Amino acid sequence: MTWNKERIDQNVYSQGEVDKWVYSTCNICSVGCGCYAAVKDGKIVGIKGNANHPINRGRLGPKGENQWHANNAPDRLTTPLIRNEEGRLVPASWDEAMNVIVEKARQSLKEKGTNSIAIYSTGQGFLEDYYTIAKIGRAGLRTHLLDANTRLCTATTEFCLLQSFGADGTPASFDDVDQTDVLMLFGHNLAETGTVLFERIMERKKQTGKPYMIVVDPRKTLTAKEADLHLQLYPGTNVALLNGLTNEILKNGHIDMDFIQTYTIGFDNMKHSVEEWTLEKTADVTGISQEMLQLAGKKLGTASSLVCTTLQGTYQSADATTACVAINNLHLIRGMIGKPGCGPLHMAGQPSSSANRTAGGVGTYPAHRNPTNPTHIKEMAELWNVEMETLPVGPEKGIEEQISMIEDGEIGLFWNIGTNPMVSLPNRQRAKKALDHTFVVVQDPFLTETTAVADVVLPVALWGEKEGTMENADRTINLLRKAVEPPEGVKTDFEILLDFAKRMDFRDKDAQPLITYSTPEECFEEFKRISKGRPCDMTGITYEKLEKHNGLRWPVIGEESLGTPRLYADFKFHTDVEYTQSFTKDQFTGRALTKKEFADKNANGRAILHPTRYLPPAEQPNDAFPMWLTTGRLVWHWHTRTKTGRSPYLHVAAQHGYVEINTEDAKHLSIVQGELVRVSSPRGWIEVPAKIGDAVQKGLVFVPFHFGSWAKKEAANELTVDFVDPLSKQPTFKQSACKLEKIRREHEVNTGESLEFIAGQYGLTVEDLKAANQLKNPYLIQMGDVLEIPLSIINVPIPPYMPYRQKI
Amino acid sequence: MTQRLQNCFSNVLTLNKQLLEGIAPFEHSLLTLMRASLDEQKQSLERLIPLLNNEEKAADPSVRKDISIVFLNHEVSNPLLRAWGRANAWMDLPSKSNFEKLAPLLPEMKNYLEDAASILRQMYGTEEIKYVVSSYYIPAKG
Repeated sequence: MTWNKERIDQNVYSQGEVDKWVYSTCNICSVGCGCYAAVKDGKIVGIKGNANHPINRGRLGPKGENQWHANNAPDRLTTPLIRNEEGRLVPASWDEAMNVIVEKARQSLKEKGTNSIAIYSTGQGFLEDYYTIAKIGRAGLRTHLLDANTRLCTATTEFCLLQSFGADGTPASFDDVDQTDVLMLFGHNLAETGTVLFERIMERKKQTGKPYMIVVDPRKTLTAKEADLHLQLYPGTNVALLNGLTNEILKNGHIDMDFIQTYTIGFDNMKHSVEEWTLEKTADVTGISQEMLQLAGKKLGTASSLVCTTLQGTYQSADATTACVAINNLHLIRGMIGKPGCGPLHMAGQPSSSANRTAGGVGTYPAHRNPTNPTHIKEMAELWNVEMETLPVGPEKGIEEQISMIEDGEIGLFWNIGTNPMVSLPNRQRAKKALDHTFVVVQDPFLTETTAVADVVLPVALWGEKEGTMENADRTINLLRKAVEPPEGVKTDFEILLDFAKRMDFRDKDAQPLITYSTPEECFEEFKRISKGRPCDMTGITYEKLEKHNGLRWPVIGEESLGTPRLYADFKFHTDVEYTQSFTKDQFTGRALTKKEFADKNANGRAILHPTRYLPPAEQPNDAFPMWLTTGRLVWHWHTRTKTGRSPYLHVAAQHGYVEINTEDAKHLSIVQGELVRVSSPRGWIEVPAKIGDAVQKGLVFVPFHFGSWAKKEAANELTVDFVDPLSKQPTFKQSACKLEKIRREHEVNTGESLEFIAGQYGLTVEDLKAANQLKNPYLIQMGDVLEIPLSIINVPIPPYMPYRQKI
Repeated sequence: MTQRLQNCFSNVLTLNKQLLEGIAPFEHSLLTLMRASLDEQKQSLERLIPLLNNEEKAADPSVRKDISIVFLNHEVSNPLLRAWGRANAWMDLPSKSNFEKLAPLLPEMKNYLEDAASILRQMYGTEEIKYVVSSYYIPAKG
């Protein structure tokens, strides 16, 4: 652990002393900071960091500090809503709402079959919710259509881990980040998406000079500015870069041949796939100089310890899973896995997306079981006491496939839990059109852009109003105790799911209720039994133990165990055919392999090196749309701002959308700072102010995705493409084509009008007016000249995080 | 029964070849993926169709593997074709009219695959078929 000392960050607004502090975990990003909820008179009035939690030692990020404001927002939903015949959402009782849902579910099953009900949940819920979804979905509804917004953020994590290691579970942990000599942050803007972990790294760097940081990002982000080496590649070239670096490492002989021969298969094919990627070719395709590539290759090739992290810059890009597999390949050929300070650390974006995968709410069966292996199906049938024949065989369908199914009339009920797809899905107009044509249930604490398409809305509890566990990015299971009761009329996701199961009368093969637990802790105890003997074995975890030890990293096998800092310390991987979580996929097309094909590989406990073939993004700039568009997060907001938009502090820090434009591009187009511009793509358009600078490279623009109100035109996902990665089916938000247009009015110069006078008339500065019209000499305007006047100039300050803390 | 199966897969092969021929003139990342998938499907079909002449050979495990590959590649190429359709519309590609001609082929292929799945269910049984063919192709009844 790096932290030398604790620092208890807190944010409290209370009239009088706090009554109690309740043990909890931050519910924002995937770092998983320990905290306490402040309670006064039955309300949550603040938060403070947990000084004893090893992940953060008391520190919190800006969003974490402010998440509790949402709990007390005056517009909390407190009653279910049903859309009436006039198209309005009107209050209803819980019985009325649940009966409508049950009736619709039964109708859909009868008319369209078992694959007609989709449950689309979230990465911000609890493991207990996800496990219940898995049980209801697979053993109750018998559907394959279990997915979550994790498809949009970290599905690629799961698939790259399955490809290389045979099971989910990121090999390295934050402990390895503390020890590594070289850290590569690949498409991972940690300074803005995981501020506490970034601070942890930078504090160590300040003390020791380590780690050497390589940052791969097409933007000059806050993270990139702290890098020892920033590889600012062209959009959509992640695999080209990784192939070049891998080839360089191979060429230089910086590999552990003993490790490769003993613990891996597939080396020859992998090597062959990168052979053409000379430094020259790589430089040409990625835009990174050969010198920098050589330096990066040397650093990665000679590091005595290495951790690579990935996040949306990798997962939401073209060739997402292949890029992450390339990183796994790199670690394997260098033998940099399973040892202190070594391993790939494929991150998650949300606080509990990993739990959704582990518990089986998305992806494979619970506890990393293979949905195409009859042995695993039989196991699940025995554990759940259901007939094997009733359990669906085969993988899930991701949300983009579900959109197509809805378009084809195949889905009769779409149950949306704790997520806002009308802002977060790519090409959102297409998604809206689809959801308008099916029955939609939305489970959320507030009215959102997605409740606009809902037929039923169920009000649910927020952080602090329910108990359960979450799994962060490095396999740590954290506990959240209930601090206060939810507002009257509001239920938890868990309660709603149990109610649904009861109303649907789901039963096991002995005609007993399918779900027998009634509390989250009882549910967790059942999940523990399910996990026994699987990679995520949690048999040694209890709620009490989680609170006592401030989180435990699975596997936790047996009462005495305090968890596992890193996986594969024994270099045994989960690739035995009867144990593996997946028979893997073709690395290029994503075609699932059959059991026989996987068995023929004879991996038998060895890791799998895959060939990594580069394929350019499916959409690229052309004459009509000459710019690259990428989207992403700001430090001040979480996803679609359902929670963070209700914090006054966070709202003021970043109030509206914008488009980040390179200074040269802006000059060429004569766009001025703050000017309202139209950004169009083949899918739609938005109008947002320009933020001009050097964060983006020439030819690339960036739009934050947080702002998606139907009342404005600033949603990034009006523009984005909805192609997906072939293996993970994660959408490629990061590469779309777009164009910029000025929105101007005209002013014809009258007699005696100076530039100063004209600027004043429109509330502009002379400099802005000059720049907007590319005027070098302000005295050369003449009567009759037509000047372009920017329609609006909006200040887009967006303060950097840590204004009051010294730069590390 | 294997004769009927052979007919289904022969029809699938015809459509596969039409698709490959139809996309041959064009370059696009989505087509690169689709081509790879359809090529693999074609190879599997060419291996298994002759074997379906003979009941004994049809029971060979390699036939089962190739059958799975045929279905799995349809599952890959179908959304790719739809995606290519969107790409054509968005970027006004010169292949737009070609897409419109090719668009019905994969849905038509699905019909033959569903017929094949129905026959396979009789051959392998209701449980075993699930591990050979994706449930999206297995009719709910009949």
